[in-house]
Amino acid sequence: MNGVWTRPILLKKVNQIRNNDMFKGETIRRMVLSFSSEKGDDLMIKAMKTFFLYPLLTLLQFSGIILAIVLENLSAEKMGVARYLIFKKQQFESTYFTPQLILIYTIILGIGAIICTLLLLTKGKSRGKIIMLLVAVAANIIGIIFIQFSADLMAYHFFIIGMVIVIVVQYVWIMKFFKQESKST
Amino acid sequence: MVVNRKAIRLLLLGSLLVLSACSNNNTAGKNKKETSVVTQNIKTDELKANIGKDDWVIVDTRANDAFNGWALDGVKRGGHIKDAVDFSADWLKVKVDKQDEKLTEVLKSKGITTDKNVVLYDANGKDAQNVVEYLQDKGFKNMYKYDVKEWAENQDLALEAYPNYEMLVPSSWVNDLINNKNYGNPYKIFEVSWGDEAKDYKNGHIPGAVHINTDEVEEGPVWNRLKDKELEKFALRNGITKDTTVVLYGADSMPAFRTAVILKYMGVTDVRVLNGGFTSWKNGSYQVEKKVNTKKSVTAFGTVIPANSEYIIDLPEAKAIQANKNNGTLVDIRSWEEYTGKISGYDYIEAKGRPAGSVWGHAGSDSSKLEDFRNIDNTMRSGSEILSMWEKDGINMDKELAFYCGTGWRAAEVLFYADVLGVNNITLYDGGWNEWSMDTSNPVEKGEPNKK
Repeated sequence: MNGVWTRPILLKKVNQIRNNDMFKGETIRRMVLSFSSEKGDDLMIKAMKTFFLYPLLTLLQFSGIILAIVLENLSAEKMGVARYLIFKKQQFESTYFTPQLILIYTIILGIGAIICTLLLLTKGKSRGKIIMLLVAVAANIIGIIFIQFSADLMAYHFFIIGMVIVIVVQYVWIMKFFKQESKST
Repeated sequence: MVVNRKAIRLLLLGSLLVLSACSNNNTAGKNKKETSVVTQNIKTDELKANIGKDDWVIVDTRANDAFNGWALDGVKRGGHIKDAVDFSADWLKVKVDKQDEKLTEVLKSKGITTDKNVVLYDANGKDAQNVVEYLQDKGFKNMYKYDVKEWAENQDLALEAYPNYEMLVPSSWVNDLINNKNYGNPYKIFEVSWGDEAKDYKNGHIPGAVHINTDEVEEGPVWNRLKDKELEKFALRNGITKDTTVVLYGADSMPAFRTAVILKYMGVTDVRVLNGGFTSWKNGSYQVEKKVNTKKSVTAFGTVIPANSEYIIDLPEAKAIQANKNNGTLVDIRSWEEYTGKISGYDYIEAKGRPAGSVWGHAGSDSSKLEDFRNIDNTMRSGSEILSMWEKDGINMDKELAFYCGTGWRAAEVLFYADVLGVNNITLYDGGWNEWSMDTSNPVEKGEPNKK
């Protein structure tokens, strides 16, 4: 698919982006305009990642929390949802979210927050790294606060699961970032 | 010759005009016959003589409440003629999917067929005619109309009413109650549905009605009624004493029946449910209010709760019935799929099956429906049909019958109907399948029973 067939499509895309008000930023403009160069395909992939893959992954990262918010809202409108959440709450409390496990999760999040803070202080030199680590620290702290103070929510355990997904994916991002950095150095 | 020709032409023209006029007359006559139904009125003696004959069917076309026992439309006595089946003209106005298909099925199930002489009676001179017109389109020919007022005036002629038909009230009765303020006696009207937001209530309600959230009377995860002390608080908060006439209704009647059964258990002596729900009120073109009415509390209920403890039973009593089948029966009011353990019927119940030895008592197509006990307009199905359905299921009405479902809603409605019909020794097993299945030591069955 590279080469002959993708070139017209790429040029069309470049023109579309060039005329779009959304892409007025100088950095983006330069990147977009360089599609016409020989390295166009690579840049296109990079652009695809920037505009589609990363937002999509971010959306997936927060999908658990989005689902929990939807469930929490529906629980006020639909009896079936409310009863399902009460049933799941009871089920979770006796399996994955016993008081002991909740304590362990809180400690783990606390440790995560400390590690990320230390990394931030010692290795947080680039802008990207700082943002990533800050998000991780914030997610851990919010997770702890949430676990301790939001037990009244109908979708409480779904929120915790959502939080865990956010934190785990954030750790993956950080690891990927560090790996890439070590490769380049 | 010219004159003759002219005469012949005139004669031909005249003949044509006469013929066409005759032919038009015939067509008009035909059309008239097709659009307006000519049915004879039958006399009381004639009707009396034909009751019980295989080729005759007597049809009550009035509102379901009149059939049940209420004296409506100026009739001296309420109830229906012996052996009459119900096919209310109100059903023709109901807007549901496949309405005609459903009504055709109803006609068949009630034995209203084209090969029979059909007597249709009403009291307002309209209902029978509406049904006649509907049946004529279905190919019915031998139809007779009758004014049931004549029958009701003669005290020697029997009219059958359900023993406790007053428990299920028509919208006109509720309207009278509001207008005469229950003659100074305490009364309350409640719209019952789940949730504090009460969308149905806010969209419009019976004037003076107050919203009850079903969570005020039951709690999870078993969804049994609240403890007696909590129920007392609920009654006091809502201004209910044992002597209050309580009228319950909802867009869907099931929550109203659930609450009604709990109120009867508590000891409220006069509990009524609006037959057919809020739709019947709207169809009566009565006033609808949108103002949110606040609860007015009272300080004392008037008796110790529960004053009628036998009306609802719990797991130990249900287990006793299960263990001694000679004295009682656990009657399953769930869909056949739930009863046979193909599905649990609920997102919040995982176990599938039924308490061992329980008998299927019919229900509906899913866990929120009760088509087997309701007419197309959501009024109560004919008592004789309900009882004969249970007879076929092998349910012995002489034994204690404990109705249960998943969490006590469907079974509460059916218990209320059984009460209306005067079935004795009936109770609600509150916890139902949800509670029964929580303890794995309770005996459970799946699949079709040996004797369905």
